[in-house]
Amino acid sequence: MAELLAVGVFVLAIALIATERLHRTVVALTGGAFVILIGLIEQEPAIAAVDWAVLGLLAGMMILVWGAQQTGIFTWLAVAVGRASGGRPAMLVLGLTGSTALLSAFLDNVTTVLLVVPVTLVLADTLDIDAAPLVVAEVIASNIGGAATLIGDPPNIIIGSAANLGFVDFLVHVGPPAVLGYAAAMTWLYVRHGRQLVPEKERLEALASLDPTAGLGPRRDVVIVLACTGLTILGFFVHGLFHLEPATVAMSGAALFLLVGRPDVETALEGIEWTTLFFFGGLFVMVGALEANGTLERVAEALRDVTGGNRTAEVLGIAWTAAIASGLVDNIPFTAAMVPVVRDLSAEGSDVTWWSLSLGACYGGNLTLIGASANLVAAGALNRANRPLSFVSFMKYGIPATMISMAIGSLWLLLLLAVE
Amino acid sequence: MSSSGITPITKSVTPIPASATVVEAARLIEAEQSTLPVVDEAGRVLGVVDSASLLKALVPRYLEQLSHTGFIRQDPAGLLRHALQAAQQPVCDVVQTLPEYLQEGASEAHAAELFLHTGVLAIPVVDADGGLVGVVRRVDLVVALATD
Repeated sequence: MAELLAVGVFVLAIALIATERLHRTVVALTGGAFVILIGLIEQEPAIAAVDWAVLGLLAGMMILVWGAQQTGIFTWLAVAVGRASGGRPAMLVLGLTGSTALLSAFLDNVTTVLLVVPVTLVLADTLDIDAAPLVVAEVIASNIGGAATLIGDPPNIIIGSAANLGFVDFLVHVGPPAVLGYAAAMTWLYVRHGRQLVPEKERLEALASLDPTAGLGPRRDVVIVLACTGLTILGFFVHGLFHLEPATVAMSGAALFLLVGRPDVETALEGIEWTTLFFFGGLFVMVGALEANGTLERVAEALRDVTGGNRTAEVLGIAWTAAIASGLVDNIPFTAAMVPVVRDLSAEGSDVTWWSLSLGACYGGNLTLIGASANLVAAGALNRANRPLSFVSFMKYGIPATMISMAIGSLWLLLLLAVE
Repeated sequence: MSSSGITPITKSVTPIPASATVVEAARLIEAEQSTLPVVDEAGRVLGVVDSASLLKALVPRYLEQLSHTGFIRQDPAGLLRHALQAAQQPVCDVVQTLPEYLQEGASEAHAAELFLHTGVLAIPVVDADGGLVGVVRRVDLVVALATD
């Protein structure tokens, strides 16, 4: 009975989040409080179920990103690549989606989209071309780019913390398929929609008049925030050597920035998306209740029964299930619930099952408009530019891009299985 | 503060109908009154329009998401076209609604609080049925408070 209730609360929470009737943070906090109040999980295990390393990593990076945002360097980057494209569609797609993918490997995808899309809308208006293919390509690049590193997408942060996998582990095992998947998906998008992006010749002069450096903040601020972010990223590369958690690295970087950059600390901490952190907190407690009642162990057993213990079937099954599930529901609760399942399934000394969960959960975000928060943010921005993007029209871009990146991801997983 | 509240500073004003266009509202604001009450066919107050609400309607909303627009040196063609289209929409699409309107004879303190929280330059004064009586301008309230 208790188990059924825990599953019921979790499924209801995911459904409520999908309908967007209630803010996802409110849903997670209510669900978390509810499972404690009705005794599905005791208070102490509930606190222990919250993965503080995930919250610390997110909070630290949010402070650094806030600092970087204040200096205008992201706007500079997007304007600079737009101007450098000279209005050639291929260069425009490559420059904008390339910088989006690169940024989202290190920043949260929603943040990246919020930074790049408004500039893209200015560029599209300057060239007088359709903004939608560019913006959708950016979102797809952001979801794929985020999959490449430990810190690029919340599912990876959750997986990294749970499986004790470091920044370099992610870069080596999920970085290469992300690069290939990005290249293949963008090539397809360009071949299919490139001709919508050809500007008239007389618009090129307006593009050339853009001055990327005009919005940059004081040189001192730019140098400090770049140095702090650079040191933090360097810290991610070597965190394993020094037995430091990625959260420690991110928090140290944030502290260094607050110390040296001297921003107003109240304002800087307002840059933290508290709603996201509380969402994670509530979610971890709900998943804790599922785990405490043995549900996730049983899911793992059922999966093992279905695949008959065949590793290839298990790995590909998890990747594609994760992709489809992430296309339909929030990939964060899905990943959080799958972590104990994958832990049960993981063969001794093999991490491939973790990589399959990571690839599926991250790439699946491209499947539908509601697959990732970044998609909805971009649709909102297009809507504000009087270019509404429907659920169906997003899928015309999203489904092929997901299939392409998942096909490459699957081949990569088979390769990992073969060499392990 | 004056014991008669906002009554001495309530001025009569010609409202703009909800079906008027943005460009018509802009011309009226330029010529007559910085803040126009918008009324429906029955004369009930729907809200106000001023140059701030019209500006918001005329430029694409992504501009508000950008904080460093010094890089734009020539106005984008798409932006200018957007403005021309937006100028033809009815003011009811861009009307700024306020949390409440001032009732006849409301206190100056109440008016001051509404001005502080809404940022508008004039607030419609309504009768018990929501019909327009006039407006109180922020500057008139400031003078009244400073000199009474």
